Amino acid sequence: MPFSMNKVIIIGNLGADPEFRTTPQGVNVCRFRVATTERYRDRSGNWQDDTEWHNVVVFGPLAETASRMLKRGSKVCVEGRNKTRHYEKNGETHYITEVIARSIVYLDPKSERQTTESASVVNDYVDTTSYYLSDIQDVDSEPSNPIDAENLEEDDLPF
Amino acid sequence: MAGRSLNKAQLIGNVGKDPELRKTPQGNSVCTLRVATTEFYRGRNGERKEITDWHSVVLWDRLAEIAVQKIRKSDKIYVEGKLRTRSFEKDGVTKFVTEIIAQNIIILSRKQPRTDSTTDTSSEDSFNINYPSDYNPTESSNQ
Repeated sequence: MPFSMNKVIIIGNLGADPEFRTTPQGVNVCRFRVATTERYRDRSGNWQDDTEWHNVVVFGPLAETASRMLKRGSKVCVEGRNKTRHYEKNGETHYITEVIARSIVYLDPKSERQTTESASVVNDYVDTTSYYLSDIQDVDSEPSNPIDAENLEEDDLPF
Repeated sequence: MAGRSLNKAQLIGNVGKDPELRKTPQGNSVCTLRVATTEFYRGRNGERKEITDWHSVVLWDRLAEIAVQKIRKSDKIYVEGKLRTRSFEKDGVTKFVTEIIAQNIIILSRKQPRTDSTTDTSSEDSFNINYPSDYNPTESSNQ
């Protein structure tokens, strides 16, 4: 009996306002980037921050709420699955890994939320298993704000 | 705005090929596991569909050394770790890759019984690493 699990949980802050759009097929899509920061002491005893940026994609009913509730700086918990896809740019194949949200918990205090319309929404869940990128033909071919290359290092091809 | 944050990934899936141990110039052991997860869902017309996702899982130091002894292609494993994205240059083009840095691995089932007597025969199939707080191979060394 085959079984597997593909689960990602991140808690962090949005780096920019979310982008919301509806595909020609009528599927709502919301995208945003979340920073998580790990703090550790280096060998000299100084605190260092290690920030990681995650691309989050929200499909379907969750997308509209996410775009209303979130803005740059918002704190959010996203649970979902890890998904890698590829696209062509200038004849080169690029890979991008995204977190496809299954559930979202909005962590900002009520008073700081952008709208009162959905202020009662604290968390949101939907089974997004059926929302696959193959179903959404015109999904962005590349990230609108590529990950900052700073502090990242060169390596061999992983694929 | 550092604050509290969380970066956790958990997988249960099958290993795509035997792991190979590599050494960084600084002497760190490292190996990369390709792990497949498969999800089933109903299509628009109610038909059963499946989709397989491949994940790159990076193991450092002791975890890598244990994994190359114990893990083989097609084994089913549990992996817990954190997501990390890095960039590299290939033919003058900057590319990005997101990997899971493993912190905890459990072997759930083995495709084939081990016959190699030189491998570790202990029945312990769960291993994890509590990295020291200043341990950060992505900063201090390069694969």
